[in-house]
Amino acid sequence: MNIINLLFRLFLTFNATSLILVVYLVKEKIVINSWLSCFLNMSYWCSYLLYLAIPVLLTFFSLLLSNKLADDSIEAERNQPVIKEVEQANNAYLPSYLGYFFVALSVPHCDTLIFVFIILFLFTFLSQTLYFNPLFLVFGYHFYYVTTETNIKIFVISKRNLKNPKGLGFPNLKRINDFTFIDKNK
Amino acid sequence: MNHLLAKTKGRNGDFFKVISNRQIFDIPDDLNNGIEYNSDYKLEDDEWFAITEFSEKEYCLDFLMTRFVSTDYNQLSRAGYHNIDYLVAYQSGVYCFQKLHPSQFIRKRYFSISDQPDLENTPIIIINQIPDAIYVREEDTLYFRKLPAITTIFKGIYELYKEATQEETEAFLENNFVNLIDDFSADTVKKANRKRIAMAQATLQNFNRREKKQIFSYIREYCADLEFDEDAENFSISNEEDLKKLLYGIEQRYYTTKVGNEKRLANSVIPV
Repeated sequence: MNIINLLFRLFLTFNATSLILVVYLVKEKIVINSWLSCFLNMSYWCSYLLYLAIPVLLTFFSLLLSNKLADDSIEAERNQPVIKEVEQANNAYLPSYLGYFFVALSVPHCDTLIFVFIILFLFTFLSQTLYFNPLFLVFGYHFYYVTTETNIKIFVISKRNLKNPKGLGFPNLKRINDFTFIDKNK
Repeated sequence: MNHLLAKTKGRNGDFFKVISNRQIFDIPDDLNNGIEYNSDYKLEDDEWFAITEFSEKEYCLDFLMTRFVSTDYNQLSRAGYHNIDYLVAYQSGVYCFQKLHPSQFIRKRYFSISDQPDLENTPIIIINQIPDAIYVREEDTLYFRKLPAITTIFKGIYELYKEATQEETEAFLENNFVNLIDDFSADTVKKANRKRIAMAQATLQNFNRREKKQIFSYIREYCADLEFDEDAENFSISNEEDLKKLLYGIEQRYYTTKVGNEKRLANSVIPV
């Protein structure tokens, strides 16, 4: 169980940071046209879209994998609310993502990029709460900070549009780590 | 959803999540046969001792008073499993407690019965068929069968422990290691010492001859003023105070500080 969880977290971290590689490849105009003769006359756009498709597919795969994680739940019982506060966090990733993109656009050499990417990967992995992957938005997920009645704040990735904490519950959660949970209810 | 938590030992002991979405214990269907605790009463197979209005008791856990939200608890790390004090299963409003004894922590090689068995040697933890205690939140009642099994879970619950009856007090004072002098007798033993006698009796039952000898020399070491007859191997008890010293000794409440070598008496004890 622990191994699955560790691999999953590494995988999520990679998905969350891999866009920086895509941006760099596009900036450097590195294309796949020279790989095969039939690619030669292909537009550069095809390469760029292919690069973008890889993190998207990996993200989709990570969502499938998340079904294997440990279960959890936050349930309202006897009509007593269990959630005190819900706060949308979709916009919280924007500053860090803009930061990533500017870094990718201004990195001059490939080895500098690898170094920067490793550092970013490490910090994203260790910070635990930062699994902000904007590609989740593509699959209809939103990010929320949820505060329970017991005054503990957790980070929830959910497909639902959450606004009103009254009567809200999460009967089908999956634990990514002790602070981050993914909601399987639609 | 059902959840299993583990409470770890020690100063930093806390509750951790172990498993979710599995029914851990089958809730017995005979809980309605609750009987007020009485140490002399022998339970029938379908009966449970019950403590009603449990949340108002001082030995109730804070854990039972707060809302149960499984995401509040961190996942128990692999290293933490060696340090479990007891397990609590939360099953829709019912809390099942199981004290974890070292014997339930198994480090042996085993294989599961299957078509393709494979030898495994990861340690496993055994879950009892029947929990040691069950707290039903709607009824605010704690059910249990054996008080000694849960005294380390609910600190202070041993106050329910009985006082020794007149016969038990007499029986205790008739032990070979007790020599009554100055007209001291079972009739003069007061309530506090009767409680201690009830506990000491249970403690003594677990000692063999050699351990008893060790205890007696331990008592002599700490209670120099308690008279001991070398030949008859008995303590002279002339008043309540002497008896108290002897009973504290049997419970091994005396200790010496590591730094400073000061001899002390613990006025309450909790296993760590």
